[in-house]
Amino acid sequence: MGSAILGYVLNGICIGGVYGLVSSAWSFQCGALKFANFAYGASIMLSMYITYFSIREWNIPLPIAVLIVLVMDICLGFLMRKTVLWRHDRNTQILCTMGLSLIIINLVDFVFTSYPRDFGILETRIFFTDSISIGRTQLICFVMSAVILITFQMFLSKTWTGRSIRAVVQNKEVATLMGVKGARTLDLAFALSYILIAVAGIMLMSMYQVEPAYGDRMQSIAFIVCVSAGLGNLSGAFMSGILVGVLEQLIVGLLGAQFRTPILYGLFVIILLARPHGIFTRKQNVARSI
Amino acid sequence: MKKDLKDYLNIKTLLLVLLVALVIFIPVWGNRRYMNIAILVLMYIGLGESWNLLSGMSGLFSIAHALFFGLGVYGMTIGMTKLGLPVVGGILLGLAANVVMALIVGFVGSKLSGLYFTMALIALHAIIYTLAGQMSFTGYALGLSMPREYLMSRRALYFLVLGLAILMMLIFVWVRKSRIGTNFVALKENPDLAVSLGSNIRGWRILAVIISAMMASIMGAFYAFYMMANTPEVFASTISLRIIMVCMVGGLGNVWGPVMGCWLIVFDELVRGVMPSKFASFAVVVYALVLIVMALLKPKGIMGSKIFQPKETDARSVENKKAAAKAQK
Repeated sequence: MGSAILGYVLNGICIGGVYGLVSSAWSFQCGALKFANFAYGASIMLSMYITYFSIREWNIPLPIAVLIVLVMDICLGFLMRKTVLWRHDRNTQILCTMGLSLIIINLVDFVFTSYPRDFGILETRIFFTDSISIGRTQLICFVMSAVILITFQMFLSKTWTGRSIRAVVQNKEVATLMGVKGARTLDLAFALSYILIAVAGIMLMSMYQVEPAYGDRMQSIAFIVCVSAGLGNLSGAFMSGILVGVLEQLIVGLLGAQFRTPILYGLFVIILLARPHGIFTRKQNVARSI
Repeated sequence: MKKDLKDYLNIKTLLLVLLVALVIFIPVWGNRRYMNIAILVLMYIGLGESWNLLSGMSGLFSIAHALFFGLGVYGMTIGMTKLGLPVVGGILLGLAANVVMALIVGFVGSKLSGLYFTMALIALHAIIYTLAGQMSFTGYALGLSMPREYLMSRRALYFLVLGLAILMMLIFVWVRKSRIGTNFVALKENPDLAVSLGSNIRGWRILAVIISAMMASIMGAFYAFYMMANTPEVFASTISLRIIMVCMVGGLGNVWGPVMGCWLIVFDELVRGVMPSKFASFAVVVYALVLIVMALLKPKGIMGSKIFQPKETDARSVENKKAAAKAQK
């Protein structure tokens, strides 16, 4: 039993890294850029489908397939910013992106059919002892997502473009006075955050099977991770992504898969009510109290 | 000012007369299919009024309204089949479940707003949706079927739902005209100002959710009689989307909004009858596209367009307009 729990925890840490990557993109869009993107899960699902079909069905070599998914996602992000997210009214954004997510889900259902797809890679596992092991793909994905997140943080804090994004997020008018093009920087930042979504989609495709409703699951995880870390907190999102990954593996392993959604979402509502500004952050004026 | 006949001859009256004629003639002329469409349309009008009260009037954006509707359906079917309650008991069970859920949602909504409220509502909706498909009490994914002796004819159902839709519209108008509605609008337009004027914003928000949830619950109880069974699909997000659609196209915060928006339901049902089932997903795509276009370009809906605005005939409003025009120069 003890070794089984240890196995769940190890698996959870590896998957949690990818969850951290997935939800830090949402955290960036929603918390920092103030674009409520509810078409987010659907975008991940779409990039997973494109990855699967370009490699398995259309026989495109891996590097070009990755490039295709990246370009497609950046275009999707740019188009979303230009078409549905140009209003700064929150409710309009939520409504429009919800509509967009339904469009994506139903188009995928029509074009690719709703049959669940899977690469079916026979995973080589790395054994620590006879009963404790982790998959190699999972480990690679964990390391890669950590590296990508650190690179993204470095980009935001060190380069001129990253700094201008942060400046626009903090105070748009002053940033404009300093010679930063406000709207254009937001376009760029939103398109860049879609790179994270594309990479997360490729990683998730190598581990899980995908179906059109898969996006909702990722969206739920993004909600929980972001709210427990505090919206807009990227490094916190990675840590609580690992936490949520471990928790999910433990729930599925010890209680059963049918308890996954109710327990995780119940926890989410409790966190939202008790500490809406995040578990790890000190009290800030994140959620309006009235 | 005395009004003569000419004042009543405008496009609103014309539309109203057409509507009444349509409502009367459908059961006389209609075959089974048109009756079904008419019943669904009237049901969505009732649900639309419920959504409109919560989101259009009091500004809490309910993205998963099927939650309240589905609880009403489940309350009715569980009360009938598992507990053996009479009809009133089923309705009351649905209402009780909805009041509990509305208290939770309202508590969330009174503490958080905007994005956080939407996320919490999605979470609660997902919990209930998943549990409904997994418990033996709710009949798993297949659902429960109602006792056969409650099967009603289409005509009886039509008049029942017509009455309910009119009741919902009356409730909406009554709330809007009363002090409660004034408070709801105040906390939608400017919550800070409403608080500073001494309005108990948390209480009003919880009350708004409770009223709206009860309205949706009654329509849900009707739906149980219409379908004679339930599945977890009554919680599906397409139902929420349709409810939002009807109001967004018609007009937010207006009692005639859902009535003006219901042509989309007619269109959808007619098209769905013709198309092969492979293309069924396109209906949702068209819906969502219309929703996006309406939300971006015409946030006030059809009722927000010029012909439906009240004419500014009295001297004061004309004066105000002139002053505003002057100030702009």
